[in-house]
Amino acid sequence: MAGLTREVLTGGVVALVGSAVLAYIRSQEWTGLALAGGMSPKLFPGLAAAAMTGGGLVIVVAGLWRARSREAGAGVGASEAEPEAALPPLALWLGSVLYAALLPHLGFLAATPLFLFSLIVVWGVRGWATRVCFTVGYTAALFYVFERLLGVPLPSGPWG
Amino acid sequence: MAGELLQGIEQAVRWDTMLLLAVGTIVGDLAAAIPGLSAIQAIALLLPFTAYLSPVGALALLVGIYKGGCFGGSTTAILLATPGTAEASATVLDGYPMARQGMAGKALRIALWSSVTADLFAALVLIFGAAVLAPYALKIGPPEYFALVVCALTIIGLVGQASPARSAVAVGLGFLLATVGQDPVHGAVRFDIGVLALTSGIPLVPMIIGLLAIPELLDQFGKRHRSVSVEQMRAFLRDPEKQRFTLAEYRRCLPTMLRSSAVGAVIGALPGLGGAIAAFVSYGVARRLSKHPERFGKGEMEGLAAAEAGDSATVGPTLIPLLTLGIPGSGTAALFIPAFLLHGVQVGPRVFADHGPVVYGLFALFVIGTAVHAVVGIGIRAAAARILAVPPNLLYPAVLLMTLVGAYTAETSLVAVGVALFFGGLGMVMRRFGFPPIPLLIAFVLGGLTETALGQSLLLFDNRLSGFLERPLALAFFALAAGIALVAARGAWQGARSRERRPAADQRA
Repeated sequence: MAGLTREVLTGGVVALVGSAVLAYIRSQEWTGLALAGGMSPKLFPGLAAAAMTGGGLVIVVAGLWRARSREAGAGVGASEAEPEAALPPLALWLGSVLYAALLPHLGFLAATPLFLFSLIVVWGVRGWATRVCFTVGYTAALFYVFERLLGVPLPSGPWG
Repeated sequence: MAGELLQGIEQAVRWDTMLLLAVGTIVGDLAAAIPGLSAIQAIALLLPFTAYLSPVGALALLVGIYKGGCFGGSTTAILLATPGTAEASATVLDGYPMARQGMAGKALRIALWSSVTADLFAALVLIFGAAVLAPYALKIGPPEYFALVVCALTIIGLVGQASPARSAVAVGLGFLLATVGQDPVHGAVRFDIGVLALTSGIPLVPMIIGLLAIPELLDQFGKRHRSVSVEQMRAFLRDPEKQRFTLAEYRRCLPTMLRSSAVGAVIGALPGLGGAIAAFVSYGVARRLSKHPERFGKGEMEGLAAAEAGDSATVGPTLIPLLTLGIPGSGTAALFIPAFLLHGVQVGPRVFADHGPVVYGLFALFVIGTAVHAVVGIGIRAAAARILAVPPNLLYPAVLLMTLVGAYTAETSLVAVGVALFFGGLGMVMRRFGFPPIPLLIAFVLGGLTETALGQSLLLFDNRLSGFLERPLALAFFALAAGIALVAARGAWQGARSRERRPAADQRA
C-alpha cells in the first residue's frame, strides 16, 4: 500500500509542479523581438509543462487504478519492492555541494584534499597511510593534469 | 567530395588520433568493467576534455569509449555473473556457465571476437546507411523535422520503458529545461531566475555529467560489490587448453555472429531500443535457429557469440539518425552532439555538405576502431579482470571527484559545478521515483531545434496547426507516433487487466 501511496503522491507532485509552471508561464510577459505572425515564446514551454502535468495525472490515475485492483484482490500479491535507502546518496550529494561551496574560498589545493579525505574515510578506506597517500597523490595528479597539462585555471584560494 | 573523403581519412589515420582511439577503447573497456559505470558515464566524464582536441581527435576518443564500453561489460558478466552494463546482461546466460566450467579465458575470447566481427559489420552499416539516407534528409523541412522529433521521442518514450507516463514527464521536463535562456525565435529571455549565466541557457556538458554520471556514483555509496578472488580466477582458468578459441570454432560461430550483427544493426538504427534489447533478441533468434537449443544457457558458444554480436552491432547504426537527421537514437548517441557542437559542427541534414571531412573522418574511425578494438581487447583482458580487484571505496571517490573537476573544466566556472550538482540531485530523485533520464536528455538536446522548427512551421502555415496536415511526410510521422502510442496504451491496458485478474484467480485457487 505504501508503494501505491508513493505512486499517487509522485504523480500528484509532478502534476502540481507542471501546473505551477504553466501558471508561471501565463503570468509572464515574454515578448523579446516579436516577429509578426510568429508563435508566442510561451507556446513551447507551455506545451512542455502541459506534458508534465498530463504525465503526472496519468501516474496518479494509474496508481489509483492499481490500488483498486489490489483491494479487489484483498492484498494477494500486493507486495511492493522496498525502496533503496536514500540517506547515504543524499549525504554524499550534500557533501559534494559543500565541496563546491568551499572551492572559491579555500581554493582547489585546500578544498580537494579535505573533501577527498573525508570521502574515502566515510567510504570505508582503512589505514592512515593509504588515506593520506591516496588523498595527496590523487589531488596532485588532478592538479597536474588540469592546471599544468590542459591549462585550466583551477579555483585558487588565499594560499594560491 | 573525394577531396573531403581523403581529408577525413588522413585525419583519422594520424598517430595522435589513433592513440586517442586506443585510449578511448581502453577507458571504455575498463569503465564498463566497473559495476555501475558504462560507456555513457565514461563519455559524459570525458566530454570536457574533447574541447582540447581536434574535431576528429575528439570523435576518436568518443568512438573508442563507445566501442570499448559496449564490449567491456562482458568481463564482469562472464567472471562474476554480474553484467558491468545492462547491455551485457544476455552475455551472462552462457558466459558465466562457461567460466564455471573452467573456460573463462575462452568465453572472454569469444566475446571479444564476436564483438569485433559485429563492430566491423556495424561500421559498414553506418557508412552505407548514412550515405543512402543523407540525400533524403536534405528534403526535410521544419514541419517534417518537428513531426520527426515528436515521432522519435514517442518511440524513445514508449518502447522499452516501464512507464510511458513517466517518460512523457521526462520529455516534458527536458523540453522545459531547454527553454531556459534566450528564446531561439524571439530572443525573449525565459526562466533565467536572475542568474546571468543562464541567459545563454543551461550548459550542456555539465548538465550531462550531472544527469548521467553523478547519480550512478551517488548510488554506489555504501553498496557492497562482488570481486574476483585470485583462487576464483585460477579455477576459471585452470586448464590452459580449454582457453583457446580456435579458427574452426570461430568459423562455426560466424553465421550466428553475422545474423546477430544484422539484428543488432537494425535495432540500433531504431530510436530508443539499444544494446540490451538487441542482445536478447539476437540470443533468442540464435537459440531458435540452433540445432541444439537445449545447450543454450549451459555454456553454449553460439549463445555467447549471439549476445555479444547483437549488442556490439548497435554501436554504429545508432549514429545514422544522428548524422542524417540530427536526432540521436540513444543516450550515448546524444552525447556526440555536444562533442560536435564544441567544434562548431551542427549535426543534421547539412552535416555532409558543411563538415564533410569530419563525417568521413568519423566513418574511417569506425572502421579503424574495429582493429584497435581487437588489439586493445587482446591486451587488456587481464587488466580488465584485475580492475575488479581495485577497492571500490577508492575507485568511486576518485571518479566522483574527477566528475566534479570535469564539470568545472567544461565551462571553467563554478556555475558549471553547480549545474552538474543540481542535475546530479535531479537525476538521483528521478531514479528513486522511476523517471528515465535518457528521454529527458534527448528532449533537452533537441529542445532548441524543435522549438525553432515549430516556430518556422507555424510561420509557414500562418499560425494554423492544420498546416501540418498538408505535408504528407509530416503527417506520416505523426500517424506513426499515434500508432505507436495506441499500441503502447493497448499493451499497458491489457497488462493492467491481466494483473487485475491474476490476484482474484490466485485467491480462488
